Amino acid sequence: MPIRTDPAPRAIPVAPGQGSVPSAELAPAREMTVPSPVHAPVRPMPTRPDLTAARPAPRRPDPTSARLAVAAGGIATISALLAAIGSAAVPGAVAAAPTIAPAAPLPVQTIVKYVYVQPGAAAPVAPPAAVATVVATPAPRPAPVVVVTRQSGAKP
Amino acid sequence: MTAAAGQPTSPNVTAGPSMAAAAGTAAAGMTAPTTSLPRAVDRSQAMGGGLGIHVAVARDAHIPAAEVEAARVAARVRTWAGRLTRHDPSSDLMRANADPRGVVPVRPTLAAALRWASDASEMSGGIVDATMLRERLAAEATAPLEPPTFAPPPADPRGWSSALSSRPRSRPQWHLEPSRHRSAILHRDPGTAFDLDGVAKGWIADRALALLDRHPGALVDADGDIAIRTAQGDSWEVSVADPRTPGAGLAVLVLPGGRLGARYGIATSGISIHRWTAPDGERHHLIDPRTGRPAATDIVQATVLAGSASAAEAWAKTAVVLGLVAALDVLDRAPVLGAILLASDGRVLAVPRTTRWLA
Repeated sequence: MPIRTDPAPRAIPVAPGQGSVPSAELAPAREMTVPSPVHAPVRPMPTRPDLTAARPAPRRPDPTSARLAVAAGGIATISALLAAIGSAAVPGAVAAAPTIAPAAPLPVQTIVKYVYVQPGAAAPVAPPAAVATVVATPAPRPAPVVVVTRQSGAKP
Repeated sequence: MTAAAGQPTSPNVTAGPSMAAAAGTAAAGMTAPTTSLPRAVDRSQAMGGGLGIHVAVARDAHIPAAEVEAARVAARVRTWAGRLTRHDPSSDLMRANADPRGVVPVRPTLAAALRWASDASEMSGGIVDATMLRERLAAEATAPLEPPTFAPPPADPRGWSSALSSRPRSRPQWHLEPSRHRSAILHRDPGTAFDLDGVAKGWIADRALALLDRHPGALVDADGDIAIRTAQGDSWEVSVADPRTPGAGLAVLVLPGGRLGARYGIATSGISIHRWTAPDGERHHLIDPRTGRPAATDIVQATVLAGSASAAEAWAKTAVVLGLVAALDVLDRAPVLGAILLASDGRVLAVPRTTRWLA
């Protein structure tokens, strides 16, 4: 069967969005009046980055130190586990726990000061960790006194 | 019994000629008394011992009127003592002790004395403890004592801090809630019984002295615990008894007056009077609250001079319970004017600032 062609070109109505050619382009061209942009601020059009341009590669931290730290930690952990397993296998062995030596108490020297009230008393015997300081040795003076302080219940 | 002072025939006259020389050496910096004011004295019995009310009156004052006032104050003292004694089941103290309730209303005198007992306990780091009645009665009964609450702490020259830290936690807890008209509501652990023998005498002496404020000076001797107010130009002499020899003294303290009057308190505590022999050895009445037993101490007697009789009594008792080394350390830092200690080995020691007051 022979193929026939349409000799006169014509517009083909196409629903909006369905065809590859917008329908407006099919309308006859008309001259349009565009308002002058004198008073409108000129906004620079955003420029889209050129995706094809070569960008510098981001700088990353040197992983060497982190790797070394992780490796050291792993080695330490494995060593501790091996040591614990080995000590547990020995009967009577006690795993050595890290201990902190208790700090020695600071020497506290209490200075006890006193005086001998009566002369002729025995030489002072310093009590442990104390210092006896004889400040004075007043002599008693006999005097008539009407008031006496004494232990409760003592006979005057 | 009242007796006018300032008369040659009175046995209660306080002689004054020797005071000037004594104060010149013992109270440097203070006005040396050149004269002694006449005294009115009332002597009676209270609190199981002697009670002396001494009033220093102005030279132109009416001495018999002062004697009457001294006797009136003595009667007030006996009333207070009757409310606070543990030897009378009808006293306010013993009725509160016998009350099985944990919350008990108490009248003003007992409330005030208990408040001071609480303050004294805090001041002494818990050594003065008014809740030791059962332990004291057990010591008096000479029956076998209960085991110590815990092992006594080792001798520590810093006995002050150890006294605070080693206090048993099983001590009964109590407090007072203020109520109307100076009374109070006593809240206590069940079974808590109070003994005010160790704090009441000095407190009563201070209270009685306050009733004599209108006189130039006064002295209240509550069985050896003494509250004193000295007028300017006057002084009081107080002897510290030697418990080893009746009538003898360890020292004499001279307490001069200041421009606005001077307040003093002297109290003596010790273990040589109230002693009992039990199958397990000698016992005395000063209970160490850290052990619940008679204190193991090397002090026979402690006399403290302070600004009030109540404070002096509390510090004297604290010193005996703590022992010689700790007592000297504590008294050196305590707000006391002086202290004289008789050690069990016979030495008589005093904190250095005591020399200011020695005759």
